[in-house]
Amino acid sequence: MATTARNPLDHASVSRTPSRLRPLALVGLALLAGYYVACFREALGKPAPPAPWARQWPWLGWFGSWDFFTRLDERVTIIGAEARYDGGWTRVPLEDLFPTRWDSGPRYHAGYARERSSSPFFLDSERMKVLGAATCGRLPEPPTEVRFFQLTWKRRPGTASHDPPRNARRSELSRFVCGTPVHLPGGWRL
Amino acid sequence: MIERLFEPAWAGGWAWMRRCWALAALACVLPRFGSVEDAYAASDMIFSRGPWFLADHVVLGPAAVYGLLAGCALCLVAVARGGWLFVPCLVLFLLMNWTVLSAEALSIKGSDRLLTQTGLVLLFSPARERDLRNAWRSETARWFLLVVYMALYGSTGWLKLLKEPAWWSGKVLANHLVHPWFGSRPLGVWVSAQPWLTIPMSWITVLAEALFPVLVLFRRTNPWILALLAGMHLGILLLMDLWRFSLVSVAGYPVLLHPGIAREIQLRWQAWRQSRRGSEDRPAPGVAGVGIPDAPGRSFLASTGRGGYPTAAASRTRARRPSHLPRRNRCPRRTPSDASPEPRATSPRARWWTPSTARSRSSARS
Repeated sequence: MATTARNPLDHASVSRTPSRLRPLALVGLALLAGYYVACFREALGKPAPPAPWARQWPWLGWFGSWDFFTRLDERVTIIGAEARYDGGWTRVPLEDLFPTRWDSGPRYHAGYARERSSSPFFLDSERMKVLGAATCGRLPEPPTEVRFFQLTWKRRPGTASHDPPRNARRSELSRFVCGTPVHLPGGWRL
Repeated sequence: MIERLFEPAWAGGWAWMRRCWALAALACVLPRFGSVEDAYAASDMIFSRGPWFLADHVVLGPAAVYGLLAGCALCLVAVARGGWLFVPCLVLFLLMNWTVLSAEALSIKGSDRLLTQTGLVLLFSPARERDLRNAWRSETARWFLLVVYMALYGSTGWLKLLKEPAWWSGKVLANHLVHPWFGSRPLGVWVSAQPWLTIPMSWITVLAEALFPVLVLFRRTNPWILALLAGMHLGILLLMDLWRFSLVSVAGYPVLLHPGIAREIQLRWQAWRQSRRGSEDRPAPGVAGVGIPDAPGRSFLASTGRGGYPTAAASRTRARRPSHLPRRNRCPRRTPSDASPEPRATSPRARWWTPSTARSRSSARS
């Protein structure tokens, strides 16, 4: 974007944007700023229905939207799982089975951390089936069935909220019978 | 007005940003080596999400992902070094990084997006040049970076301001600090229960973010707003588990800092290093007035214009730059008549002032 022209009378190497590229740079700056303004307006308008462009290409606004840590969220939600062996349910250590963790938590929490996300992982039945099949496959002893639930409780500033209290609200998310064929993206089968 | 957008400013900040950006990117890439078989090349947890439909067509194996990550790390080393490999390696890094991210598809974070946006700006910036200590370049790329950061801080600040009144009571921050994933660090948990800390911290966060798009533009306020936000990122680093985003955000600060101030810091740093070495035969880099043997005790600030540009007037012997000099960070348009009375080093590539150039200066003055 810039050409270098050294002035032999000067120590400093000085360059300016060539005049033929200046209109291009100005248009680029205007487009970039306009894109960010559109993303901001889209985020500001939520939870109203998205603009037509955002409905058609929802990911287009995602790239330039910096809507995070905005809302007050006083609840903790974690996902748990249980496996069925001989009629009894046993707690599954999901975090050990799927150890990768990002800032926002494990992979099966994806989308949960995004405020007002329209597609948290655990609300997508197809993804939960894949998680179910993967859980059956990763457990050392294959169970007959797994079920997933979410635990929700109120956060209390001043206390680390990793362990759910006794009064945590529990709601079942999905069940998966091990051995059920699951379709992965692109028609792959597990 | 438009002309001013394209006028040159000191470009040394780009060299710092190049290194900081590469380090931040490396900090994002290296931990992925430990998650290849569980997430990036898992055989059982394969997902796709618009527009990351890579898994619809191809599923990467562990060997491919390890290779891509190693390629990313190598490219980042080349990016940090600069030179002719900078642009190809930066493009390759962005492509390989997004291939790995697309293979995982679900957990593409804010740090990944910001890294990409700042990386795209770096592509068109002077950061590829190795020696930028004495270079003045068009500010176009800096404007693009400013727009990216204005959007980042401005939008998140104004969304907090307009959509969530609970920010003013410190309640939102207190709850974020005990988030089971983002938060829950011991110090953060303690701070979350101290309203005398969370309330001012919330106010500072919201105001600094919301006012950033304006305050960053003015030389007087520019370093203060950046220092405030650097403090905020340090707080995030210490109190929350969001170190990737903090590192990537701060990587752009050397360029966001006003070039004139950045130049002064650079010169002070060089002068300090020089004084530590105590070598009189190797004075500071070739900017008029810096370390000239015939002007002992002269402040380097006197030798530069507001933007660190070595103006003809400023290179005269005096302790301080007079107030009538232009206060903006612009390179004065040089004409042969301007330049001719001001003798310079004979070699355009001269990096250091030598006694011979100093002698030629003093003889020309006399």
